Amino acid sequence: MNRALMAVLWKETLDGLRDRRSLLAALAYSFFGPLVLAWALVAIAGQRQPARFDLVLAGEAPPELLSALSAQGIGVTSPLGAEEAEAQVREKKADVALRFGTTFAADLAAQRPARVELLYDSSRRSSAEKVRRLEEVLRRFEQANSRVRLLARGIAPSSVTVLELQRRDFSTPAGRAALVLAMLPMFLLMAAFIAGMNAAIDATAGERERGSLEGLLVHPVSRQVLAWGKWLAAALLAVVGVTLTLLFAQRVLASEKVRALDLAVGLDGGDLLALLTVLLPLALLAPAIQLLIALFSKSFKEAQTYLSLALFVPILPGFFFSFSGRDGAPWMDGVPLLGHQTVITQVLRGDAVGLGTFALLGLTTLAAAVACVAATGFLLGRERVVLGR
Amino acid sequence: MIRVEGLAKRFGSVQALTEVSFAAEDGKITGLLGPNGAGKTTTLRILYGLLKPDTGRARVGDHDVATEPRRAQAALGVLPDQPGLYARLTAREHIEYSGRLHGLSGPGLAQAVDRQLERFGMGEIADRRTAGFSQGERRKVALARALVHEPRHLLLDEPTNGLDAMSARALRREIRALADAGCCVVLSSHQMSEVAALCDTVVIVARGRVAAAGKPGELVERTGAADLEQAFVSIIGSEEGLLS
Repeated sequence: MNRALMAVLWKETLDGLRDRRSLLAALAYSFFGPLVLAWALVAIAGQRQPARFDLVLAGEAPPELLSALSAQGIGVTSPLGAEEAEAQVREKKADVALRFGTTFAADLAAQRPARVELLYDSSRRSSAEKVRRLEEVLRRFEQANSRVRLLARGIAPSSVTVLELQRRDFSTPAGRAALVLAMLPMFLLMAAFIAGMNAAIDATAGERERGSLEGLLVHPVSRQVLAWGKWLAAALLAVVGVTLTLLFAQRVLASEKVRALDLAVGLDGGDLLALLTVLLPLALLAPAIQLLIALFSKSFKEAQTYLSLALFVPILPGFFFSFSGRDGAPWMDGVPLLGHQTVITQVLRGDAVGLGTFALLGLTTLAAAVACVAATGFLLGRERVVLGR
Repeated sequence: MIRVEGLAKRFGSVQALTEVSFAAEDGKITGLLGPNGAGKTTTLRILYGLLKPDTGRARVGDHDVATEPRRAQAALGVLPDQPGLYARLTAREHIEYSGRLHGLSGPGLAQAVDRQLERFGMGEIADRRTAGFSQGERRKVALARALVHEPRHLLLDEPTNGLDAMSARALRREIRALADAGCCVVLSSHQMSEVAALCDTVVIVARGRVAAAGKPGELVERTGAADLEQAFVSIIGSEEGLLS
């Protein structure tokens, strides 16, 4: 391999590895995306099994009701006074309390309406689900008792049942998880752009800012070789970043808790390979674009500003497709970034993606990368660019 | 031998060089003397391949800078206008990087790097990162980097600028030693005393032209002035931008 190219790669890599803070920040992102994903998925998994909770009780509850409550995973505290139970809910120490009137048992026995109070604070998000479950238990208790009374009077209970209501909530945990997973392509795309960003800035705008560009250009090395060496160093970081993000994402999806959600999405070996095939060329393109943009910036800060704005570009197609509800036209599969969004989503959904699509997208992406690096090399020979005028 | 003929260069509306021609001999130190903005840096930048002249030719040894830029660069050691260093690399790594870019490798590279570290007495700071270096130490690294491939031609843009008196003296001694060893040295300066003490030939540049050229003694004689400073003032007609 070209000796000068290796020299540039060696220097840029050494310099990049010693820039601990930016290196750690770049790699931390690889963990960050999948971690957010893991956290969101685990939160959803937690919603699946209704949690046990304890109910504050005041007054004397009928034993059948207590056993019905405990069958639904609702425990009760030792009975408190009426005032005390109310205070607990008011002071937000308890989410819900059930208060039985002093004449409850007598009213029940005499078949009079027996008063029971449900105390809660609807502004507390955690109380809504508990109130719903309690009402359900109370409703069943009432139903069972009214059946007995109707039968005693010789009336068929079904004749007073007007409606037979069935609830079916389609917001399944898996469905909600799929919404969360729609973020994954975005994290993967951004990884390619974030990991090599600082190296790309340092190699161009940074060189100019610290006045080392002129000292580099006096060497008998073609500007193209300099550009390729600098690109290679940044691209290596981007490749590492993308690979790490992908591996962590796979880890998250393979974890016990997430698997229990029965998602339609998983990453097996084949999917992983397919995603790498799509993402690695992108990890080569991203630093090439960044080198080119940063070369036009007068300072490190200016380059950072431009490149942070450019970070939105890879996620724009995703936003567009999810908000417009449209699918991309087939030709878009071959366009870098547009195609990446679609193909990654398809792979994650388990749709079959043709080899031709992979090949076309890979080729256009690599071609774009080559064009950007060559343009960087060309511009390094332009006086205006070199002198930063 | 370094030779420039009829260089002209324009940046937008500014005519940086109008007509610059001179020749610098091997084994001699040629000083480009002139006020700031006279065109010294632009001339050197054309010679070391950063800028292309609008008209005129520049040659380094046997190589035309325009047609064989890499060969000309390979024959040059350059201390550029902006000798910025990489803060996270050590002094040794700077010299090594330059050596590699000049095509050195293996034991030859290691020897070349050690030779420069020794030449500038940088043993103690060789393996320290340059982030905390003093001006003098930075200049040593930049110079060692320029010399790592033992070039026969040297272009030094304001080599002693910003150095304290002691460092500047040591550096001048080193430049003299390089010329005595046969190098063709071209340096720019706006310090009269430095040029008078160090240079064999002086090329006075003003407003993009060569106003006069010759040995310091000759210039003084020609103008009938008392010293080089007087001579300079009578040649360019102004004291502006000079340090005595």
